[in-house]
Amino acid sequence: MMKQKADIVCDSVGSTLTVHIRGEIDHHTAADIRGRIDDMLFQRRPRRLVLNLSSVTFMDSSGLGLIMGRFSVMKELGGEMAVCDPSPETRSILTLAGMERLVRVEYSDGHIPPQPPVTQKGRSGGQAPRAPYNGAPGNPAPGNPATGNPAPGVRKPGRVGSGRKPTIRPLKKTEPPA
Amino acid sequence: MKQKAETGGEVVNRMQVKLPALSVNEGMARAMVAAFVSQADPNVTELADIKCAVSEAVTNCIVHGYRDSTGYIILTVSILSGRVIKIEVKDKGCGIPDVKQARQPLFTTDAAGERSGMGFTVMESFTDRLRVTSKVGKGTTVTMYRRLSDRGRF
Repeated sequence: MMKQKADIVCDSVGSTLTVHIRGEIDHHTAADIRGRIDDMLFQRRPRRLVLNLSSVTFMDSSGLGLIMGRFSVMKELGGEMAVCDPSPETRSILTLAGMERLVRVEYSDGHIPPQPPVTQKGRSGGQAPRAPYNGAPGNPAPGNPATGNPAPGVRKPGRVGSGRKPTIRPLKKTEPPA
Repeated sequence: MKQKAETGGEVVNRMQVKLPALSVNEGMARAMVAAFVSQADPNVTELADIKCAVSEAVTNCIVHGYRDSTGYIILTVSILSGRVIKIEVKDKGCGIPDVKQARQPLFTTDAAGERSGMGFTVMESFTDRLRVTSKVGKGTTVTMYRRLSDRGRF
């Protein structure tokens, strides 16, 4: 067995599942991390997934794929997700990909990250400048937590609000964290 | 002597490694490049950018170039005078039919594998110059140049 360079620790509080990723995220480690996060998601059915990237020492575009993939899974499960405390090593690539436009990036110390430059030399091509979410279609944003309203096109019909209650299984306290 | 800022001058030092296209070698490749490039005294950002670009290029060889086959990746890193790092990642895999399309952000041929389609975009952004030459059925060569800020010996 080849030594894995990444490890995850899951922490479930209420309906929030926090996944702390440690080590390097590349194509090699992402497959394993993905499988383990998805197992937890389908087992615990959290309303909210938080990926803590504070201990990630390296991340490439496979990590972007991982985040985008978990975002779709959470969307399908009717929940939301956020990225928490990205380490300096991961920030540049998150910014490059405009990940803040897709998922919420949070800092536990209340730090507000500087706004990325509006235009990036224009050569990252096709990436529109950042615009605040205005409800326009094509501008992806998670649902509005204040009103509980889903953003347009974010959730599948019939999965809105309390309609999904029966599918949630209660948390089993006896389950040891993976 | 005037040098082209982007592509550097003569070779100061060079390393070449041949790795089988196994995903476990992605981490290996970027660690080796980082160790080699360290002698040119890059700063933290430059080293992180180079590691990321190498990781993308090597991953592309494994995921796309050798998707239906196995083979070797030849990684050549040179330190050129003028503090330029030249990285060449070569495979003899399936090749890219349309390089221009492949370089578009978010373009991917492997959506099921949760690829973000940002590989070439990342390489382009984290280096000063990116050249991709490819021939279907023959393989692909990715060449990247990155100039380091002035502070070291070369």
